[in-house]
Amino acid sequence: MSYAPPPTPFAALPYPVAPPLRSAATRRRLSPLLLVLVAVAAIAVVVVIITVAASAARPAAPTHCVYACAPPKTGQRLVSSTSYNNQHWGYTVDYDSTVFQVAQQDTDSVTLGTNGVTAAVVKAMSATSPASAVQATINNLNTSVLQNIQDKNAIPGAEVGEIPGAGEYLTATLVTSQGGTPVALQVMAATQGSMTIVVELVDSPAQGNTVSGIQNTSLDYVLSELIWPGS
Amino acid sequence: MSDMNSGAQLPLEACPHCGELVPPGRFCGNCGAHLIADADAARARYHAYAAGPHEPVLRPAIVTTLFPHLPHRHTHLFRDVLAAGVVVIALLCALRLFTSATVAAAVLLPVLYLLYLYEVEVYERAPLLVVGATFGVGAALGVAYALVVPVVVHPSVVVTAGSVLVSGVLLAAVAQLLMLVGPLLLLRRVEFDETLDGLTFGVSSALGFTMTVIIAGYWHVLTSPLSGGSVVDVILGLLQIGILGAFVNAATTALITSALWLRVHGHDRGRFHAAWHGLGAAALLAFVVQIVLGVLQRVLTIEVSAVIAWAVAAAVALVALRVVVHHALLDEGAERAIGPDSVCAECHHVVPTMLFCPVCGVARSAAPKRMSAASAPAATAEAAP
Ligand SMILES: [Zn+2]
Ligand SMILES: [Zn+2]
Repeated sequence: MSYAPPPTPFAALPYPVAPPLRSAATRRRLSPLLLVLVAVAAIAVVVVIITVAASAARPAAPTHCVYACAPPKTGQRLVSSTSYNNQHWGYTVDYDSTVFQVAQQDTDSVTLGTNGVTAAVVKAMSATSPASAVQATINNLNTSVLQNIQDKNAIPGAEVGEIPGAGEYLTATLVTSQGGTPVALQVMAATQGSMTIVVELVDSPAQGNTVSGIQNTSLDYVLSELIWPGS
Repeated sequence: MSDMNSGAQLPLEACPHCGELVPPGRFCGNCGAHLIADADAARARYHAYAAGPHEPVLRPAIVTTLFPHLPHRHTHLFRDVLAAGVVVIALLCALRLFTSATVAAAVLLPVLYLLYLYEVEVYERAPLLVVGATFGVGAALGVAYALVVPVVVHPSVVVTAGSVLVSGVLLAAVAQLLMLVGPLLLLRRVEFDETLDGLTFGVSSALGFTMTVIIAGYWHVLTSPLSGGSVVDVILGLLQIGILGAFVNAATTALITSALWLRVHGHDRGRFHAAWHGLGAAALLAFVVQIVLGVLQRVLTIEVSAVIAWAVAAAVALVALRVVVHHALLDEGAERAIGPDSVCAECHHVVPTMLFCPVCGVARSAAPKRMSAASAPAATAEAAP
């Protein structure tokens, strides 16, 4: 570089400043006030229209219902009952084979599905506190399939196969190929001897749009008729 | 050479960086070099972003990056409206109006961008074509994407490696490709041949896409009779998806389209060629950012950590976009031309119309387009006392 930078101080530049508000450069197409008003109005209109449309598309509000209004326990074994027996831990899961299929299984757990969607997961582990087992399961929910997970309340008197434990009631939106469906989730755990069993129930989309309490007697059956080893 | 007006009467000085004779000023009107900075910093002038010279290049500024045609004095208004919008969204959440808050988060940036396109008149000759091909196509593809995703995502309620691969990697890449479709429809049009056209189309398409993905993708949430949940989590979620997610999508898409426009229209003078801010690097970074976020979306369970990840990604993508655009603007332009005097929209000095304003150094292609044509006669009249 053989040139010296031109020593041109700012004030000495031979360019006048355009008078404000007279040149095209300072004129605005929208005044600031108008711009804000248009922005607010446009956003408000869209928000109102979509909110109203979403409200209209909402299913009729179910009668408010908490866990306690789930159907009463079935007293007898189902005719089409099938058993899954876990070899490693020795627990047995009875389920209605006209409703559920074993979708997945490994040494600790079995997943029951209906129409390709998870309906119940039963998992055994070394004894731990039921509450921490419940929390660990909640933390591991697949948030791409279960959106908008909301922890509603603890389930009073939660039981797994008639062993008292801890439970949590959640709501979520299950996203499947049929679209999104509100679902109720119940995660319950109980500990007996050297093992803890966690049961995760997803009210299947086929059961309707209500989200309050498990509506599905077949699911309730899976939970209440679970057989602990040695019992 | 079109030395036709008063610019030609000024004593011309040789620019040490490009060697051309240019009108006196703090910046070279031809190559944009900062003439009174020391030689090392002058040529690439990283301290003075070509589309907004009052800011350094390496600053993750939102408005000057995504709204480049906005003159400096108008930027604060858009910034204020944006900030106020975020506050209103938080208030709606606090009032537990979650549906309205979600929709507001989805439409805030798109509405501002459409107003910006109107305000700067850059595309006033073909507004329907530009808005339709970019924002409209992006929005339509967003709806399609939101409807197809649930079919592809495996409906298992527990996270598996497979679901991370499909929903994190594959869907993120597909979303980025879909956001490029609208701008590509305008790629071959000669009237939209500047890098900032590519940037604008990319941002517009990405904002349309993001808006409808949020509304269509969350439609089942919006229409669910759900009311509970932590207000803070909902606010953070909307901040992540609606605001930061829109910044990320706009920046990554514009990163690719800006570099693509420069490459295809070939207006660069070859002064700043480098692979690290070329088309390949831009596209690679854009997809990497999208895929990393796609995977994190499946893995991060704590909302605060997701917001931080998205904010970092938005900052990285915005700075990368500025680097690409800065070099492109310094490079763009076919020949040295000293045009008639006109008012610089950025600093309001009456200066010869060149590629760069000699006073503030803004690339004149970053001005609202009416400045270069309409204001010239008025400016000349005002300049003569
Ligand atoms: Zn120069
Ligand atoms: Zn200027």
